Amino acid sequence: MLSEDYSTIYNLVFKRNSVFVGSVFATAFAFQGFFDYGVTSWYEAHNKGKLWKDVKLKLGDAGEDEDDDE
Amino acid sequence: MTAAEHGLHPPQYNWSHNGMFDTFDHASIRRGFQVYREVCAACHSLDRVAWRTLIAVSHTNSEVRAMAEEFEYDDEPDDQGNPRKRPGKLADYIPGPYANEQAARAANQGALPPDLSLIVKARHGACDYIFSLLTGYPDEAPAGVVLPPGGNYNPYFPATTSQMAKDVTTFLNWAAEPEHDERKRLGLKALIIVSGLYLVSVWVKKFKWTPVKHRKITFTPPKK
Amino acid sequence: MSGYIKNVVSKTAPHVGQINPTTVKKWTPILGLWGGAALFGVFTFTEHWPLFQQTFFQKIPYFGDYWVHTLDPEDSPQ
Repeated sequence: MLSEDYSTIYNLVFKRNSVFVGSVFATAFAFQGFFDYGVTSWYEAHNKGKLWKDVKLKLGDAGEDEDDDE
Repeated sequence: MTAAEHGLHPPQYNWSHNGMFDTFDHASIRRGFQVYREVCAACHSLDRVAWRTLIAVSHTNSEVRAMAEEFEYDDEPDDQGNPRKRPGKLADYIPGPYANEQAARAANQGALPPDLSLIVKARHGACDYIFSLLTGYPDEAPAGVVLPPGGNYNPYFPATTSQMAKDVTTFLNWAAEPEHDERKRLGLKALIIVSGLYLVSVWVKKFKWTPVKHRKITFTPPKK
Repeated sequence: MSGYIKNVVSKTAPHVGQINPTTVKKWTPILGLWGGAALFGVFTFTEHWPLFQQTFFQKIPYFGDYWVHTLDPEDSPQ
């Protein structure tokens, strides 16, 4: 990819405005997905152990009986 | 105002949810709810929290259903028009200890124990204040607390007053700010995008200004 | 000087205003590309919409699973 001519990129993507706008939206769509996935993965790793899904796993070990004493 | 008039400033504790990218400790929320249930709910209501909001935060669906069903709520009158009761369901709100404000005041020497749904946001110092208040009572345990008889939660052994205060404070913070975890996640995304766009705009500005910044203006005096 | 035509013999192509076969042939592919751009635009703004997630995005090969949200019944708010 890096060896491609600038004029190839120009002809393929930037020449026609319809293609240009379309590729902007397509890139935005893909970027949204990857960005959200990436940030969420980092966020969950940064807060490992505190999240509900981690707590839920540990529930099975300790037993939930304490909850129902009223 | 003197310190005696507006209360001592609470010290700043290292809450695990203090940082810009830190979520609540959901295990602490879970234990904190239990503390609320066993200790605080005797006098304090939590009117704005519905049972269903606990699901996937601190309890599973089945656990919350079981807890809700332990309480009675008013039902539609029967066919004869007589009032009747029904067991609680997920859509209901957590019931308070007193039927109305007057009953609450009568049971507490005229003082109204405040609803705790938003207490963390409603007091200066937030979590630090609540925690300090709970652990600041001169007796061994906060007034009116009955430690659960022999029962301890997982895995903290034994459940100290300070541990319980920390947990219930975390729980109350969640009750006041249930959007907290998602808010910080979105905030992180927003910060990254905005900083990125800012840096791009710095470059674009410099690019557009190069002709101006690198022009040369000369003055050629007219020949006599 | 016999048999030469004095005037241009012309026929008018079928048309509705300015729209005639020539212009249609010219503009159809361009409008098609714009339609594609508009489609991607709609996708960008409906990415979190479950209706679109189920009809389109989940079907994307390899990456489609990102939009599949399975909820453990224990975590369901119902």
